[in-house]
Amino acid sequence: MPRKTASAMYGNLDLIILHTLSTSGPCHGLGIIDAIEAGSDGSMRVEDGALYRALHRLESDGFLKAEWRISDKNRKAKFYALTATGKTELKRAQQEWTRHTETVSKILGIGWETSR
Amino acid sequence: MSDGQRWRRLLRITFNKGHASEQVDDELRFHIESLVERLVSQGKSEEDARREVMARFGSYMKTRSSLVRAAARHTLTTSRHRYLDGARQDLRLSLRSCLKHPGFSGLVVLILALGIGACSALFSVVDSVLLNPLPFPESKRLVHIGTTRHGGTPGDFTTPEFRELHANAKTLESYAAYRYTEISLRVGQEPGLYSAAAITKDYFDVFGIHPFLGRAFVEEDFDNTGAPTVILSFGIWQQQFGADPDIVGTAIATAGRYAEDTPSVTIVGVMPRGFTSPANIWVPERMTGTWWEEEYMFTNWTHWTAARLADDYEVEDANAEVETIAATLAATYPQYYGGRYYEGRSIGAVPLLDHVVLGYRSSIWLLFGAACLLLFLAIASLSGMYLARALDRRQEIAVRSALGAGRGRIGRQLVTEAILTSLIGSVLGTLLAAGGVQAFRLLAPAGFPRLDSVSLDLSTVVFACILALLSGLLCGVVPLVLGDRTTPAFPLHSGTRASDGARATRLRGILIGAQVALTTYLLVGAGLLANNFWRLQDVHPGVQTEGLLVMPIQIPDRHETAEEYTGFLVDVVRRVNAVPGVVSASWTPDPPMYGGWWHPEVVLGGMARDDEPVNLRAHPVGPDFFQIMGIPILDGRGISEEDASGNRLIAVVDEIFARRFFPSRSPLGARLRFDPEDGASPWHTIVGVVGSTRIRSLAEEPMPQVYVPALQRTQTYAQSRIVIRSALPATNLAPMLQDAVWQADPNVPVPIPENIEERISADMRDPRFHAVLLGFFSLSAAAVTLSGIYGLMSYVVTGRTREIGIRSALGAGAIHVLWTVSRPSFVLIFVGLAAGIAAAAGTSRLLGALLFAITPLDVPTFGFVAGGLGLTALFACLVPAWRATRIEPTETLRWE
Repeated sequence: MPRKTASAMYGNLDLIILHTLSTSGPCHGLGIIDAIEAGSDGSMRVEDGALYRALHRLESDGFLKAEWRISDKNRKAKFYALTATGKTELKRAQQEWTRHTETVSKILGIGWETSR
Repeated sequence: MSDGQRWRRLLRITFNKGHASEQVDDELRFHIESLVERLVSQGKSEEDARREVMARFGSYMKTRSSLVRAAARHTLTTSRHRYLDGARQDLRLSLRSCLKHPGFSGLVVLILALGIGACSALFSVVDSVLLNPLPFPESKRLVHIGTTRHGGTPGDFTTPEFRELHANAKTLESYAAYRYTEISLRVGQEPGLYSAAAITKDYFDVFGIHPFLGRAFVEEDFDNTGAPTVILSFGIWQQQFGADPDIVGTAIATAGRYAEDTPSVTIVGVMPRGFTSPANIWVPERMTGTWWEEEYMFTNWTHWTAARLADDYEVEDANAEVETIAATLAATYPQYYGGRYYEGRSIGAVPLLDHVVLGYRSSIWLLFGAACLLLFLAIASLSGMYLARALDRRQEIAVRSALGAGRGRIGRQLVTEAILTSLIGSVLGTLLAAGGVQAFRLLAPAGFPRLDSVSLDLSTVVFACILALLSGLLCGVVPLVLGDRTTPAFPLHSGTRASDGARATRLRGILIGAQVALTTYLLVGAGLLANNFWRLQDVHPGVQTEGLLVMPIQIPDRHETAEEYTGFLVDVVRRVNAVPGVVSASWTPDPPMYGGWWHPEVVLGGMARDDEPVNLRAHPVGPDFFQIMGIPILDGRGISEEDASGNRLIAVVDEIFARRFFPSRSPLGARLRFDPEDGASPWHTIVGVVGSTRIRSLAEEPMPQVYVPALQRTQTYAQSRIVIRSALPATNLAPMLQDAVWQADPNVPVPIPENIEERISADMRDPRFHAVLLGFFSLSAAAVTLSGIYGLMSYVVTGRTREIGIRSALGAGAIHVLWTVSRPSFVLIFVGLAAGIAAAAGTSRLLGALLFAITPLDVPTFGFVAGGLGLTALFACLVPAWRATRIEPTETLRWE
């Protein structure tokens, strides 16, 4: 996926989406953006187009399933939820992230316990 | 564009891309509108808010189009998956539901297997007998040529006409005559009798097949001066001569007609495997004898003829040419082509295949038609049964429907189930067809053409599979059409079925009516054949069959004069009479049931000659013939040893002759003579009247017959038959008979005598064959139809459960309710019966050729079929209706 921002976290958008959905439950695109923003205390803002492209890709990879529902404001919205394979993928991606950050932290001489 | 791209493009078009972009737009619209709303609520103007939101996308249009592309790809893959998953699920559900109702599934499979099996088996017969070309090179160019009468099919032929055509026909490349006969050969120790064909020189050229060992016949073989030669069939070469590769040139002893002066024949060739004819041995037809050339041979139909068309000519050309030649002959010999006996005589040519299957073509199509009707009825009935079954499954289907299965999805499931059962049915049906073909070969009458080639082949299996798929589709789809239009899924709420469409009701009516009509039609046909067969069994052959044996005997050619000929037979019969176990023996060339080919003109002394040609048979018979055969002597006396040459010429007539020519007085003492046109034929005095016998077949009309003492005849024959009244079975008698005959002449073959009952049984094979096959088809059809009617009635009655409940609650009696519910079906059954009977009455004369003992409009048969089918059909209607009246009214209404 081409990088559109300088954010280091951006490359891990998939992981972030999967994680967000696993904590929030089924959610539409805007909800996910809000949740990510809230979860990062406003420090991370995902570009809207990039988010939807990621959502669609995750859906066709079978990690997400989509469903049309009526939102709280009575609008038709597409809700995404984790599938069983999505949950497995989340676990795998989390471990990979941990290993990756541990390695980078060691190299940079940063204590890794805090990042756990 | 590569093929792959083309295909992908094609597939992509089928999965709606517009649908994908709509979804993307919907999703993004929600996103944008929600954000705009949020920003407006924070105090921004809507215009600003909208601009800000769009900015968040970077390029909105780019994002949108990439999303649409991704979504379309996704839709494509998922719908493929969904389709396959659906099919897998259909199959699983179908299997499960089949296993859950083994009775229903079993019945369905059985009914289909019956229909498919019957249809495939008969298709095999049609294919291998009527459609497959004969097993000769370019066999389409082979024609059969023979005498026609009043433009009918060409039959057998006379030698002068053959000679004329052979010399003059331009449309024929090669042309041969042949005649079936028998030849006795001494292979090993014992003389045996073999079926043979006497053929003219071009015979093997006509068929395009030549001996693979040795040579074909050459000019010298047809020359009376040369040594007699024979060509063997592959089968007889293997069985009787141990497939000896050096067989050519071997001489074998013979006693038959072809021995003439030398007592042996030389084998000059062996035909390749697969060249079959009723004959096992071919001998040259020697054309030098006087009988070949004499003019009187114009009235002796002795041969069959076959020709190969010359290039550039078709059968029509050959037919036109032989008709022209016939006209020329008729101008030269008007006495043989007109007048009292030969009116309408001409010559015709037809494809050889037509001649081979002649007499069976229509009966094969008839049976195939019956089998197809059976399959059609099977499918119709299954539709009814599926409909009824769908009712039982209302709950299941409604639940699935409620859980989100679409109408199409449920329809597909029902069709899958029907196709699955019909595939199983077709596998079983193919097995049945294989068995059916074997049964067919066993049942088929002796003269059935090309029986050896009848087998279940690949095309039949393909045919069966197509039938299975079609019937599966039909069985699955028809209930959807016949069921409720609005809810094919048969809803939970049965009350809605009251609004059942008029169209569906009408279609159901047509289905029931048509089934009943077709079944009636089939049953009448089968009934006529069965009744015909039944009555034939009551026909008495006119002889006492028990312990009556018949043994053919070849007269060696050295007995040339009448005295030698008669002397030989008297000697043989005297020795046979001495065999222990033989009560009495005599001889005649043609005993009852063995045919009669002597049909002379007869003139009675002192009476005006009858202007009508008399169809009559005469037989030369040995002493005590009537006593041995068990033919009752009704008046006067029989024929004894006293009636020899030199004594007064006598004749014995049968009761039909007596009734016809002497209706008011006894024929005893009257005189008759044969073939008066010969001029000087002697008078015979009638001395006795005997009972009538069947000449060739029980199926024939009995005709007048005259018997004269064989001892007073001067005519000789190549073959005669010894008739024996025996106290022992034929097999026990055979070795002693051999010894007795061989004491008279060791070169005469002595086959095991045949009990005349075997002959009668063989004669019954043809009517039995048709009666059994058509009977099987029509009874199956009846069973199948009744199942279908029962199914449909159950459906209809269940649909009216509420109405029945209300009627009962309002105090209607059970009989009244029953009547109300079943009346429409009664009408349908009645109409169907009437239509079936009318159709059968209109076409049953097509069966005419197969009926002997009854007329095509046999009232008892029609009545029996109408009554029997009508009653059972009414019963099939009444049972579901009666069950409906048993339901408690309150219970019915609780459904609401």
